[in-house]
Amino acid sequence: MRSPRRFWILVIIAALCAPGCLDRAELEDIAWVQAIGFDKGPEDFLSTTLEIGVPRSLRAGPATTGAAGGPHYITITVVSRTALEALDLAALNLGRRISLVHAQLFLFGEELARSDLRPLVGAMDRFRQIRGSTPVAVAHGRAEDILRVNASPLEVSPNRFIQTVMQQYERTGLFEAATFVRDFTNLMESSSMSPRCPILSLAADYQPQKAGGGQGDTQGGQRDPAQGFPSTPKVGERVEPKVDLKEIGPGEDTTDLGGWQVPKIGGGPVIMMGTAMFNGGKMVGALTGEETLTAILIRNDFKRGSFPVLDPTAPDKPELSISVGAAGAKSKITVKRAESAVSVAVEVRMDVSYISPQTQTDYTDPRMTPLAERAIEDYIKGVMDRAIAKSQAVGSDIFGFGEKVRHTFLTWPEFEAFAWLTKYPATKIETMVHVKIKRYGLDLAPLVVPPAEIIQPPEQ
Amino acid sequence: MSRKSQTKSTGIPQGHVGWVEAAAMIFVFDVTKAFLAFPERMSRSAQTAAWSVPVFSALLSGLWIWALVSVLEANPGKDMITISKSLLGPYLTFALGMAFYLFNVSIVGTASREIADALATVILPLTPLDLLLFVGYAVSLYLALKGVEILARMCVAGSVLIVSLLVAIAILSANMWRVDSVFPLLGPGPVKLLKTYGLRQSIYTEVLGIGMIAPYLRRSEDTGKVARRSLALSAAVLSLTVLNCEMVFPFPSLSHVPTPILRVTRLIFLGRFFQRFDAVLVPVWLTAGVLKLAAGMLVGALVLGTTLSIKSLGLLTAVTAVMSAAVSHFIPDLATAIILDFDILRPYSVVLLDGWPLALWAVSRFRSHPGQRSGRGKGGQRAE
Repeated sequence: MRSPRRFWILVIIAALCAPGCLDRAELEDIAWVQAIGFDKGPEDFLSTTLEIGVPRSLRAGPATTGAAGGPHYITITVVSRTALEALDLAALNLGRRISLVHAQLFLFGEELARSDLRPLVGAMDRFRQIRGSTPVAVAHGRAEDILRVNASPLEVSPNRFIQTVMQQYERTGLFEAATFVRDFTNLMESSSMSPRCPILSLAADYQPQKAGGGQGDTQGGQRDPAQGFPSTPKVGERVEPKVDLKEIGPGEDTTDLGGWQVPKIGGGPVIMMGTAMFNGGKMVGALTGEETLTAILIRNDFKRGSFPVLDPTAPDKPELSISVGAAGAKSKITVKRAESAVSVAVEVRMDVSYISPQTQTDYTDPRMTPLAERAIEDYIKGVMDRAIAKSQAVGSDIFGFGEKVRHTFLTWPEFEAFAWLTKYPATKIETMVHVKIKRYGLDLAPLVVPPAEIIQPPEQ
Repeated sequence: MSRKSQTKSTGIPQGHVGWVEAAAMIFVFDVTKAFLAFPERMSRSAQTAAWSVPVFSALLSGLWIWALVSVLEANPGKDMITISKSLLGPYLTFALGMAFYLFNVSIVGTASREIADALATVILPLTPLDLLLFVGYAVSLYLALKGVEILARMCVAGSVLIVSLLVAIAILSANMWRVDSVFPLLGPGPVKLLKTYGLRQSIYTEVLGIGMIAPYLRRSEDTGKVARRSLALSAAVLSLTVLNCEMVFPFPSLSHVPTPILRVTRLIFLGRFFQRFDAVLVPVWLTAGVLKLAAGMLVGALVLGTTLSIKSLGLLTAVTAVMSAAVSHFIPDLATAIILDFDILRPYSVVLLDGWPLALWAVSRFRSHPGQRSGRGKGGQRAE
């Protein structure tokens, strides 16, 4: 009976080792980074901002402050030559070892992103604490600013906010859900597709805080990052749009803006919308929310989204738009190549349903349905063509047309020599959209207008 | 019920194994490289056509494996060294045996170094590399000393674990696949691809171990079955692994990731509360690594013992372990280990693979050995 005894000794040893700390670090000795941001620092240095959770404050308590009355997180910004040095310097200041294993977001400031991210991303890719599945985004403005206010009034921690906001990708399609390795690092090396990631920005109604009111400042300043940003505005306050709404055409909506332009008041201080387009390691342009939706459609990644389409019978009345929703779509990309000339045909097929048609025209009438379908097709095609033209103008194939161009070659050296990304701007790309209205919501027709109103409309 | 260990004329103790156990041992010995730099090296060799290398190289390997199996089945109860002594003479056999032994020691040494280095890089950064190597070798040596029978049975369990895990990783990472990554289909071009298929027969050098395991089979007629099944399963699993890595890390990204399957596993995100799938990978990875080292030590000891006519298998296993550990210790870094394994040792091993079994087969065809040919019978019994 020696073997069973040996077996149990082995089990006990394994059980003792398994829960142990592999690298001799106590949890209380570690500062857990929730998000990390990078900006261009002074004199070509790197400015690294760490958003670090304060676990004792994450226990039950009001959403704005933790149980211990302190902030849920702190941020520290360190200027150094490399990111690794920044971690060491932050550790010296905080008195704890910095760990990135639970980081939920890598955020790059726009100025840094437009210079070249390749060396930084390459260095991060090698670091064992970095998880490739971590979401990545570009900050409109500086990453450090966004990380300092990155809080949703509904979430107890910024970490949780990042998780829940990323889920909105599948529900709205108004931003790209990019992960560090799959959509960023690997695509920086790709000869057939360009990197892309969402844009995170401060909301249009966010006002910079007054001096002396830093986060977590218990000496009369703010104790909570979201404090100072009124999630519920005062009575009488109104939305003050940062953009001229008159410039938004009747066929467009506010989803066709950048996140930082969306007219709003209250809620949270940050918004994720749109797509940053890259050419290699450099950010070269951006797509709006609506354009992003069509890019996702082309790539066959579309899950759900909605489109505000003008009523074709009342094109001058945007308030009567047909609002349709779609869940799933099929796109087919056909590539033809003759020597160095490439032509691409994109065909998108989707079934839509009315969600909240404000139109007063009864498009459930089978004679009228084709009219609405053509209007929806034209709308989506218009936005899609605009997104493609924008990406061609900056030479960033975020749609992955090059992935299909690969099929036209037999060997890799031939494809590499073809240098698709240099051909992309001049490539002829045709789009076709086929829409079928399948469901009409819970009402079959618009609300009935009493005949008396039609005969004698009330005077204003 | 297992038969009690018996002693061959060389003094090497042996148990008897069925074809499943033998095939599992060869499979684990061969396929554990899937967890290491193997997909990365295939990507470097064949670019976008990397996934096809294990399949077509396996087809080419079929020739020398068929020759080996023919010779082994014609000489039941004998291993390939003993057969070589009678067919090729003692001097050539000594050279071939020592070459195979040194190759075996080297691949065990480089594999253990790759495992330990990856472990130290990703999971245990503060643990000294030599300690990791020592623990790995100690466990493997213990297993190898238990003999073929016990090790082969453990390999059956190991095979189930390895196949299940690699299939699970493939399924769970399917949402990250970019299927277009396998295009252009011919990778570096037809000529270079054919050359790669030929050179990369060395993926299956471990299958040569059948030549030493065959006498342990309960039925010597099962030798062909062991070879076919282990080769087919290895080719399928290795190809699936490379394909999976290639579609998650499209070429050229895959060509600089030293532990691709670990990286793929770290990308799997199943939800908020289950996002550390590598916690499942690491134990299976280590189990496969330990079994591979043990199988390598055992095969190495058998080769050395038969070549030099030394009877103590235990002592030879320990010597093989020490020599492999020395190789691991003196390799300066992971990159050197990978280059040594895949770019130097394995390509040159093709000479051994294509030369030795085919030479045995050719000589056996042209020389008459009526005494040996009539000795066909139950495995494990030496022909008199």
